[in-house]
Amino acid sequence: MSSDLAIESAGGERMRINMGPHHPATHGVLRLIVECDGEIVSSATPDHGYLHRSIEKIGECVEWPMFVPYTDRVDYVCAMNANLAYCVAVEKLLATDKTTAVQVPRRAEVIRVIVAELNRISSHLVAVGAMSMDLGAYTPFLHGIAQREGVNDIFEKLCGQRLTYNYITIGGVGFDLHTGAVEEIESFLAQFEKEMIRFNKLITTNTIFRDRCAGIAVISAAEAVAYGLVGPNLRGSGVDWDIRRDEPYGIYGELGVRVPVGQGYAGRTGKVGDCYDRFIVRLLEINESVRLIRAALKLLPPAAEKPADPVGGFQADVAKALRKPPKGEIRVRTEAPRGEMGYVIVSDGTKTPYRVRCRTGSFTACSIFNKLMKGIFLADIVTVIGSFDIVVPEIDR
Amino acid sequence: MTLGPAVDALAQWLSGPDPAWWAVGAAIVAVWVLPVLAVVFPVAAIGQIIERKVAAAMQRRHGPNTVGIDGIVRLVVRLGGFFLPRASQDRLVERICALPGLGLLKVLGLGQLAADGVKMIGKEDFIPAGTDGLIFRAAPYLALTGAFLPFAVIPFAQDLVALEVPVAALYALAVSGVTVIALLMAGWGSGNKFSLLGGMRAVAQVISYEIPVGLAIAGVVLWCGTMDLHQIVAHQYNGEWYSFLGWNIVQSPFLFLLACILFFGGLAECQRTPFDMAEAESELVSGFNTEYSGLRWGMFAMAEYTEMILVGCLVSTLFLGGYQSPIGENWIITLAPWLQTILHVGIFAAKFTAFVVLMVWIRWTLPRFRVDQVMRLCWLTLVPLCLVCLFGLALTMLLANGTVTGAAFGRLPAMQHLALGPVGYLLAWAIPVAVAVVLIVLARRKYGQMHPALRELTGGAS
Amino acid sequence: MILAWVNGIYEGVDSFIGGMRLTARFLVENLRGQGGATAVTRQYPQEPAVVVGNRVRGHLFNKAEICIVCHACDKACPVDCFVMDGERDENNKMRASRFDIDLSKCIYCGLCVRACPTDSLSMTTGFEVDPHQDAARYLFRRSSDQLDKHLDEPDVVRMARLANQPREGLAADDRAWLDGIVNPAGEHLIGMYGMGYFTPEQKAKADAERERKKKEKEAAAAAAKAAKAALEKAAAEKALAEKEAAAAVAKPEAGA
Repeated sequence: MSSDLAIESAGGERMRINMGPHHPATHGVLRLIVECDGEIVSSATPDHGYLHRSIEKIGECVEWPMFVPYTDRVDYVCAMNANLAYCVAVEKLLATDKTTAVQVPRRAEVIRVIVAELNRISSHLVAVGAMSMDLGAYTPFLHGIAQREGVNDIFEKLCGQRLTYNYITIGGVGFDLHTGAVEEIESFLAQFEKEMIRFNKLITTNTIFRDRCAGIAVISAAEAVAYGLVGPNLRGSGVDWDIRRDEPYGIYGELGVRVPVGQGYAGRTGKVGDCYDRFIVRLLEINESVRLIRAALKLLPPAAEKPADPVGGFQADVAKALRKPPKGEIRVRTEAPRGEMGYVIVSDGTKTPYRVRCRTGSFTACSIFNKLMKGIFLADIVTVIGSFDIVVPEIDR
Repeated sequence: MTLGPAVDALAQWLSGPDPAWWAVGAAIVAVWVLPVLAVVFPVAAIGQIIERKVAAAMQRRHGPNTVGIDGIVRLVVRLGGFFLPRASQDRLVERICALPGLGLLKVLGLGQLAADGVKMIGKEDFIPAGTDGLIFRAAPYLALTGAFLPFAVIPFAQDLVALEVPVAALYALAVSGVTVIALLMAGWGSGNKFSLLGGMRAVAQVISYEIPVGLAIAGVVLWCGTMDLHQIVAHQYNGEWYSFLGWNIVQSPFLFLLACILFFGGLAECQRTPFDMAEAESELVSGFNTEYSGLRWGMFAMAEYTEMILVGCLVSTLFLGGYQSPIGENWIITLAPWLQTILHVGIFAAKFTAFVVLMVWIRWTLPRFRVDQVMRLCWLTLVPLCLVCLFGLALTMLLANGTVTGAAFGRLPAMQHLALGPVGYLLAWAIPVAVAVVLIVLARRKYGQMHPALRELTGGAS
Repeated sequence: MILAWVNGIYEGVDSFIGGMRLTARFLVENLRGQGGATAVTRQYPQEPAVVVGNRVRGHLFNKAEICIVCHACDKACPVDCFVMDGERDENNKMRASRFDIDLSKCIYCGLCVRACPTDSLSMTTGFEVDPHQDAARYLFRRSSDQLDKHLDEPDVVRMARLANQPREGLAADDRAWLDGIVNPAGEHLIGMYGMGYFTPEQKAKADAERERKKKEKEAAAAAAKAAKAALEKAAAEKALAEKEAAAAVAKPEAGA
């Protein structure tokens, strides 16, 4: 339907619209230079750089553990996962030499999975809520945000912050779980599942919402791989790939992650890899995260006296190793809510990294925008941006 | 029945364009409408408070609850009690502000109304460079005019109608279309591409939805045999205590459907979610009123709420017995005329306020349509449905009464509208409903599968 | 085709009614709690913001009496927000003569608190940054015991006016008032470095100390240089002597 209209109107005069950097639906300061013929978009070019803070360059100037607070700012919607990605990368670097290798305590590993999955839930809540808000439904968004507050409360008790946590450290986590944390998480999950059912009844199965997402911005599996899409955007196209399952880090290998993929959930009007599939994959991942947290809570070993205890501790002693880490280059990728978050770290054996680079999901997602947005309606631009779950600081760093 | 001078002017204008006559006519209508505005204007203002409070409660927020009248009380006490010592002035202010009624006023957010008004008046009337001056400035006034003019023919009570017009339904439909010109003017005059897109969307949408709305009104006209809104109300009179059985909406399933279509078409015409293409804040920033601020923006907002009330009034008048009480009308008629008028206005206000609440409720529930979906809904769903309903209605009348013309039954109880009596009435409901149920069951069997993952997400519900 | 059309209408009506029922339930649930009791939002200025847990990272706070000026926090800080000077007290223990935290730089990461060996650094549960209520905390150096002293807006304005003038030029009552707010002898000073209120005595003392240390260091460096030079000279002489001796030894051999 939409492509037919595009062909018909290709000869008309074009109008150029600046969507962003200050636009209600561009999730921050993404700027899209949209050329459209009436309501039909003929091209939409993303323009980045409005939120660039040179985080990667700063990484070359600060010591290894000092960079962790900066990773919070790379993606502040899922700061725990960003912390985790960097710390896993540094630990892998340290493991290349026997003298500097650190063993992360078992309890810290389990806590890492719990907080990372909790943060995945809160990040996906922002994603699905913001998408429904972009499509004009406010109530589900605010209910999603209300649930996210529950996660934030847990994190505030755990590490003292609600957004930039700086909780996961190289060699463990910053603090042990606070008293009553396990019960709190369990009771949160119990009420959260009920609330999510209501959320889904309110927006996910809504006919207007479904029809607006179904069949829009369809990405085939081959295209998704070719454009380097990652995470739920890739899985929405039916590619069965999840770092947590296929290249497990931490204790993910023991948990048996189940990976939801796009299957044309919208029914007759839907195609595999449309906006609705990406939306549903996120919702299914929320359910999977709930399951993973419950499984991880069962694996949690009791706390030990010493923080550096290899089983019940929470922080291995890494100070010495970080003063003189092994030389070399390491590339590690982890599964953040917005897809693979990879770190490339070059060490020259000193106490500051020689080079820190991160690779994030939103940045690659922007590369396919121009292709997807040819021939869709102006109103669909917000659907597409919402379905990709763009977080601008992650694009610009 | 008197043909008002305004209608003369209107007829003059329709037969041959004569701006002078039109201006005179509009002025006379405006004068006639003014008393009606005394009812509509406060309700439109309160509509905003309803909107904000309902939205807040649905979204687990507080909504407006901060603006009290503490400041006003303080000012009055300071001025009026200047001879008192400061301490006792303060004590007096505290006493007055502690009155339970004032606290409730604050919690209900009614103070917000005054605050909004002061804010809108106090704001700079900002006109950006590149706007089309006169068009930009005139659009809000036109929007407000278009929203208020149809109230001239709405009967608020037995004797409370500004103009008794034989073609009142047509007049309301025609005059309310003026708003769309205002939206287009606002979109064009702003010199903003988002505004322009919003204005164009508004035009396309409102013009399209005039058709289902017109057809829905045509159904009532067919049933009642008149276009005079007063007579349509009178036609829905039922002398029994269950007087709601005289209302059009319960006469036939087709009329029920037409009422729904009129309501949703009206929703689309006043640009409310899920049909708020013209504003669409996540797509077009704020659509046609992106560049407006202060009082001009306030006029658009007021026009929107007034139109909501208009839709409520039309549906109530055409389908819900107008100003008549649902539980017995005769006891009201025996009362003193002034009491009768007050009761009727109250009942009517309750009816259209209920529709306003319904619109607010819908707005905070549903997401927004896309442009093409709005058009598809209009042309592929509502218009065919209207035609089916009109055909069904005519068939019912033909089968029951042997004629479809001049169905002037006078003031008869509901059951006697159809010559076949209660059985015929029940059949008139049962047969279409049965057909619809069969169709739906067949359709669901063929298309009704839901993906199992979705069923899991919604907690196993089908 | 007709069935698809009917199905479309049915689905629309079904999800419409379902959604309306759900939002109505939200409405009723939330109205039942009186005065929006089930509202998750908070009327912020009237209701205080609730801080959960005791690990909250609010204001950075240094308990000066146990601080040993070890610079561990300084080294751990990713944004260099500390400026500190130390001096030895009568028991020969290190004490902070100056401890500035630039809260406009601080990112509240808490790395300094983790690094602190004496637990003198901590983060308080207070986190207000409302300029009308707490500007003084951020703009001016105030001692720790005065941190929670409330300043009204006129006070803040007065303070801003006075703090930018040299203390000597202030009127006597202004100086007295300012000394009451900003304790010149305060052990813990918090505020924006370079914009604060320094007592001249304190500043002179800190400067003199720094100067003395610098001179000492220079003197030590000079001494070390001299010693090294002497050592090198001695080594060179020794080497020369050895060479000569070797030559002297070799000569007779050659001669023999």
